[in-house]
Amino acid sequence: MSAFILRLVVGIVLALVIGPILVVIIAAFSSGESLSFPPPGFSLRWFIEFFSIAQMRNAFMLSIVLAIASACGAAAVGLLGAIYVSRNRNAFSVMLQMLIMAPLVFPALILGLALLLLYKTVNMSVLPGLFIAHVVVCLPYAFRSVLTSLQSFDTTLEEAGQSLGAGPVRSFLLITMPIIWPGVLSGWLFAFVVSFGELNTALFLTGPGIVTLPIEIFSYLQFQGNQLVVAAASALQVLIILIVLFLAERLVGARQIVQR
Amino acid sequence: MNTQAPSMINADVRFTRVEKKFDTATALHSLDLEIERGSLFALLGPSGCGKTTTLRLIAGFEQPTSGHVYIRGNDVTGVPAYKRSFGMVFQSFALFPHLTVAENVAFGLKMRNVSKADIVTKVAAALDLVELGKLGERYPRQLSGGQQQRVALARAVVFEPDVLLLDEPLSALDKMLREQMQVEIRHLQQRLKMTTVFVTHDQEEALTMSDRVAVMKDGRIQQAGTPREIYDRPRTEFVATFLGASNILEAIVKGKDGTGTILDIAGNTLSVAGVTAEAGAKLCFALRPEKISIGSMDGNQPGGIAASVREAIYRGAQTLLYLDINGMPVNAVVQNAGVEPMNLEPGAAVRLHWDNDNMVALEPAR
Amino acid sequence: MNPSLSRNSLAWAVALPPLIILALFFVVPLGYLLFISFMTNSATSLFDVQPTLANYTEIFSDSFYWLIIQRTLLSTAVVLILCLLLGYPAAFYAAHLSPRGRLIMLMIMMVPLMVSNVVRAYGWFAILGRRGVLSGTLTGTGIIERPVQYLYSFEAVTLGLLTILLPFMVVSLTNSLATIDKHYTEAAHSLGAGPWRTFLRVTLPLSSPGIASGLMLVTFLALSAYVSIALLGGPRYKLLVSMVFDSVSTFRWPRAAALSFVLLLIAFIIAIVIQLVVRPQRVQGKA
Repeated sequence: MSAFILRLVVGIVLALVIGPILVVIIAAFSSGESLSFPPPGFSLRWFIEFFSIAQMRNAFMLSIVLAIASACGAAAVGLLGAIYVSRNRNAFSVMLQMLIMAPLVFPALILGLALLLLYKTVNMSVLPGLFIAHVVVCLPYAFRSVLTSLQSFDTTLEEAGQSLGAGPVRSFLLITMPIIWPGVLSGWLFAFVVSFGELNTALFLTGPGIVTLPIEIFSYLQFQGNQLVVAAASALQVLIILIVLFLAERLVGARQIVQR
Repeated sequence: MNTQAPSMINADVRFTRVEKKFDTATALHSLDLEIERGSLFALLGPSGCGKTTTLRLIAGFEQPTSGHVYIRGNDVTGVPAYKRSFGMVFQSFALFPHLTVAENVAFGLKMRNVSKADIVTKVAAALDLVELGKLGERYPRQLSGGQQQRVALARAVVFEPDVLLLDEPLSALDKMLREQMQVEIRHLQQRLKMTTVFVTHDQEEALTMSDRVAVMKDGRIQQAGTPREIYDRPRTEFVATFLGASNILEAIVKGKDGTGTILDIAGNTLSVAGVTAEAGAKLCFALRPEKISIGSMDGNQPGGIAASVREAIYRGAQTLLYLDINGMPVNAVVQNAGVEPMNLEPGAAVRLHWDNDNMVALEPAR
Repeated sequence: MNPSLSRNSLAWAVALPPLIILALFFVVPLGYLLFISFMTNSATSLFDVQPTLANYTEIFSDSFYWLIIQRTLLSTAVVLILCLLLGYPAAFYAAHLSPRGRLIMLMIMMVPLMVSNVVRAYGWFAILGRRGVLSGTLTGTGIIERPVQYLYSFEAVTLGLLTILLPFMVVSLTNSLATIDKHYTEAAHSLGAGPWRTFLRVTLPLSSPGIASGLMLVTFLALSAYVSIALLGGPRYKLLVSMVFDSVSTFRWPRAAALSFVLLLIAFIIAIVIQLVVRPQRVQGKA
């Protein structure tokens, strides 16, 4: 009896979590003119439509470029922060860790508003402002991933490197980096995905001609644009995430097996 | 600053008044240490005694709070590890998992900008030295524990460092392999004539392998000397009991006679040479259980000290005896030579004999 | 402890970039936002440099804002309770799967987590809208006669928030439950506690850190999930975060700033209540 209830609840949770995404993906392949269920048939017309709308296409490209750039930024900065935090046990390192992790829970919309006001005051242009906001928001994910791999890294390996004559920088590059590489890569991929779907800070920080895909989808929905194009855009988002996860599994997973 | 204790001419490693503090805890108290060129020197002690800190100070992974460290006569205090000349075998071996065996061994040579051709010959020679000539292309994880140990050794000696440091190098191996590697490391060290410092908590390992042993406790060297000196002439109760079993006999000085000092040990009077103490003073002596021989009360050996058996434990080659001399507990080990089994039942009365020269007067505990 | 990078200037060189970026683009803007919340609204510039408490007093003296705050508290409470009631059994189930099964379950939770909130909100749009799945199914089976739209309501917003937040809750709880040593439950069984008592007296208290961290994460995210609230609540069902956005749209920056800090204050109060009720420090030891 209780086992049945348990399975029922698991089913409800899965339905709540996956259901809406499945519906979007099915709708995206509809051949109908507008949203209706069940769809009259299946086609790729809304994907073609998506790429024929310049705004959508530009937003998609911007999101990809921005995600790559901010993932690189977040991974680099997160790596530096994780190096410090993993090797220093003091009040400053605790403070730094809390600071880097803060954007993870901090309401992103409020951060977006605060950044907007700062940018307006110092006349920051849109694109760099958006990039920095994405780096800050993605930083906790990249940092956490790198920190985990650094914490499981055996630092006597670096001591061994030094005993053989490699200075701190050389032993980090020649020994530590090749070993923690999967952690850095998965941090990068995590940051990429987060940036690609980022919405709440970008809400205030996009500008004319510089709009990310999630914001474009949002404004289309709000202004009742053709909704099946939106479904196609959403399906593309899911597709990109699945590709990234697949890559992560192949690259990081395979590499980590090699490490053992 | 550095004009202490007359130094050995050939000291490869020298500490003068080295002190090391971590936050508030003192790991080493004003340590003086000299390690002769070409010798194998063991730092022996329980965990937390400062032996690993001493090794890490030689390496440069730690820097002294005060005092100086010399390698080959050069003051290296403050010099970082990677600018010193030492090879090190780590407790976990610390082989680079992403590099092959040959690349691991070549690492130190590369850091020293040795030419490619030389690297190839030297790596091959080093791998031959540890009998792993054919495994150069393997990765560390594909090797057994013993093989990994050899790679670590080859990696540490290939660039001919001034000093070889071994941090509990055998603790990751099982007992059989450990005993084999003890001998191999000793032979390798003698062949290369490389000054070697070696940290262990295993007293047997220290006695088997080293030229000299320093027994450490609470950040101080209790005693340093050859294995035989340390074992036969322990200076403190700690050294006597940490290296093998030892009886600690408490004695009261009664006076002097022509040959030595007269002592009272649990109601028995003995005369010991080479001890100077006032009458009435209390002294402690170490006496190894195997130096005591047992005679029966009615036996043909006269004299000796009367004792009673509390318990006898049969150990195959020997029998371990828990004895009682007027209330003072004493242990003895007798070889089971196979002649007339004596009555060693609990309560049996026996006579104990030992050469008083085997009684080693101990310094009062510090 | 590695001496190589810890004790010299290299350590600082490593710590500085993240420190500077977060100082300039996280701490400073939030400080600036707080500053602005005490300034006067201006028609021509961002704000007038005239210190005032009006932005806050106006919020707390306006019955409309009180209504919004009450509604925000109620919807957050409902979301928290549902997240716990649904998420805990799911996590319990996942934690007792084989490591491989657990990995698959966590992956199923992680993928939607990465999909943008707007996509998931749109999913509910497509389900609850006038020509959506629900309405279509109900008319198709004849239960209702005309298409009905279920959007722009408390229920729609709650469903939308659950979709976003359940994965966080399940992941947090699963990790917490999976690390509980099974010897604890075995010990409880050996002492004569049945499955239910073992669960209530042993497993539940031991998972309290996971409950607390999951609930706190959910609180912060629920309060600031503007896009889901805007799409599914529409103009009819607004929460506090919608007010922040509306103030921005009307360029009342100091008001928007003050509303942001009221929102943060509410989040912290709820977080404290969670700590007091769940008491994770029972298991974690005094922090």
